[in-house]
Amino acid sequence: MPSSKKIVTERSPLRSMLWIIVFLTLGSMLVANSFSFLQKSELKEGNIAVIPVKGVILTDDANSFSMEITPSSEIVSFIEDAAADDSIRAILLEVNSPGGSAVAAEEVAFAIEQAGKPTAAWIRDIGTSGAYWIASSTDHIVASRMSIVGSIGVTASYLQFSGLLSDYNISYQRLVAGKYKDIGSPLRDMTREERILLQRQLDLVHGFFIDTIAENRNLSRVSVAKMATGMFFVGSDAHAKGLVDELGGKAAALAYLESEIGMNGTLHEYARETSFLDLLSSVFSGQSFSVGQGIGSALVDRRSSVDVRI
Amino acid sequence: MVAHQRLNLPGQRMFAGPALLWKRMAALLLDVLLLNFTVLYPFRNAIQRTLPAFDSMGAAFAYLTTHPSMQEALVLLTFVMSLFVLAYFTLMDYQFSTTPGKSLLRIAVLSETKKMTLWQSLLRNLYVLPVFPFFLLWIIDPACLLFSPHRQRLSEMLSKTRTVEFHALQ
Repeated sequence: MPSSKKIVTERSPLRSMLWIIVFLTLGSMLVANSFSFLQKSELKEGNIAVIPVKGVILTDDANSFSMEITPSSEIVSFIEDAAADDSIRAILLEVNSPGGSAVAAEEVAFAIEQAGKPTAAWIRDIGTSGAYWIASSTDHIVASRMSIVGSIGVTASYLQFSGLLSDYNISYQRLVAGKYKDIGSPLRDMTREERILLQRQLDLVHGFFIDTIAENRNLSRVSVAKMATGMFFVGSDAHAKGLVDELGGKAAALAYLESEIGMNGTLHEYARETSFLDLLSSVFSGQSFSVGQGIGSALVDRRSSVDVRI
Repeated sequence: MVAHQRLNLPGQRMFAGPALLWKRMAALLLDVLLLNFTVLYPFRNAIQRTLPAFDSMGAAFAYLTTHPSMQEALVLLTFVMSLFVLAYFTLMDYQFSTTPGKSLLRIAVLSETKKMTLWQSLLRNLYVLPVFPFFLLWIIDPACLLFSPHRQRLSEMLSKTRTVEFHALQ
């Protein structure tokens, strides 16, 4: 009778190896996924800053009933933040503004020039006057063929109430030390001399505006001066006149910036942070203040009644 | 080992000699390929999801130099990946005295002491960690391999292990 032998079957090492590989792969999937989550929450940063330039641009955060106002300090702080942030490689201004104060426009334009990064302006519905000044300080302007662009001019027009006051038997008692201290007061007629003086100041600002646009857009001063009638142009016309580099939209502006930075662009949107309290404040206090301010400013003489806007 | 003992039939004698250099390199390449498609694949995906597509190496370099947080994350990720690679080689060498790549090239790892311990296996594979001082082994190990009498890397000398291939003598 043949002796029975106990046959020991060994477990295949290949199968065990496979188990180790599967185990390690599952482990790496788990770790890699947790890493992705970390990236999305903390590391994912856009490399192109999108900064809104919307509404009327003023130096201070004035309240208004009817129009959106953006203080230049806010835009400047966004630009400075983007310039200081190493992860931001380029800056895109999303322009939708009719302009504003000349000083506010210059403040923003200066911040753009100091940013030291590729910049572009994407003009949406409107980019006129001070907003165009700001846009012109960027490296590249993109606008829709139907955008309203240009309006290189200066205005300091204001309402004059002297007739209304006299109708109500209200007189203006002029008390000034300094001949022109109340120049541009809405409570009295402007003299011919004052009008000439004010116009001269406006012409100076207009001249600065023309010089800046000519320099920024690499155009001759003469050609800019010809266009600087305060007239606006639709995008296609502005493009033909050299006020706009490219007709298109956001994609065109981003494509330009991507080519400048040599990589795909991801957006880092800047926006005014609005907390719930801010919302409440704007609904109740802000609007109440605006009503009061609106009525008050119509009745009370403002110290600097001449408001130069571009 | 077990497989070779099974093959040690009467009339056939096995002896272990240093594995040929090209076999060791080919085995390492095969293991790296396998790791690339299994253990490292999820990490590669994670990196691709996070980093933008670069046109050139210069653009990638510029991006990383301007993104310190991303740099730190990538360093951390590389370290974690290397831990998985270390685990792969350590477990395979400890458990089977070989890796899939080595077994295809019919080479194996032997301990100079009685039985390979986990620490020995870990020590001989520490070179995969891309941190100081282990990355120095990327230069020292191959140099030792060329000049040592038993064709051992420094890590192998320290861990008292050898990479061998078996020769049958009739």
